[in-house]
Amino acid sequence: MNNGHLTDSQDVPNEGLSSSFCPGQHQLYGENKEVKETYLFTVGTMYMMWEFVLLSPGCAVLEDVVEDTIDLALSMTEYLAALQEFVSDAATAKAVVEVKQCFLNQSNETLADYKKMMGIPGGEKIWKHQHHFSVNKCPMNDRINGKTFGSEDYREWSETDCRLL
Amino acid sequence: MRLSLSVLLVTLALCCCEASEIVCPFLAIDMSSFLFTNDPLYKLQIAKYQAPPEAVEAKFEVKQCTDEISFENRVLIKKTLGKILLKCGFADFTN
Repeated sequence: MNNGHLTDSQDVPNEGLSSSFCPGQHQLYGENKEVKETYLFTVGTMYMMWEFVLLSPGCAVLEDVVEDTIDLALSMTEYLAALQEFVSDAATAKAVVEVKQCFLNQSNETLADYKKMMGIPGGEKIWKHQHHFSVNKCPMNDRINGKTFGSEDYREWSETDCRLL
Repeated sequence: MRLSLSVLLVTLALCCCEASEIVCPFLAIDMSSFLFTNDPLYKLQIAKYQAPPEAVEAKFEVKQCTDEISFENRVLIKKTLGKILLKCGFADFTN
């Protein structure tokens, strides 16, 4: 017993733990160089990984197919070989060959510009922000309501087309 | 420090899932629309991506060619796109 008086060790029972278990504010906010560097490294890595994920269309297979379709260096035989998993019959093979041919007919400049629209190397990858954009209002509704929508003729538009928006 | 790192990693994982699940189907839907939508409507549809004018122009140059593909063949291409989406682990968003 100590007559009701606390000793120094009793006064601060967790004194031994305070430095390791409860770091001071200066450590959390980075005055400690090592802690600061670790935080910066972690945040930097996280940001880079997050950007990498957002820059990809979310499916490597789809990205590869798009890239192969646009690639002028890839021959038709190689293209069909790359797509063989998805092309089950001759009719489908003929169809995908037609699409590939459309790209083979384009100039390098046109294809370089086209890549800006797609999430593939060489493009600006605008797809990474596409989910922030709202869906356009269908002009069909304005036409139905008797309003004019721009100067173009929308007679050929159908409800099916508008549902695509 | 370890706790904050864990929280950051979990947050990243959630961001990764969200990004993949959203972007891939939108790209596929655009490709499907590219094959089937007429020019004036498609121009409005891609306007929301705020792409450079030369990129839009290039896309329409290619579209002039793909529009000449028979409707039956374009349907086959769309089905192929659906198979690719299924391979990616998504539902076929192009229907």
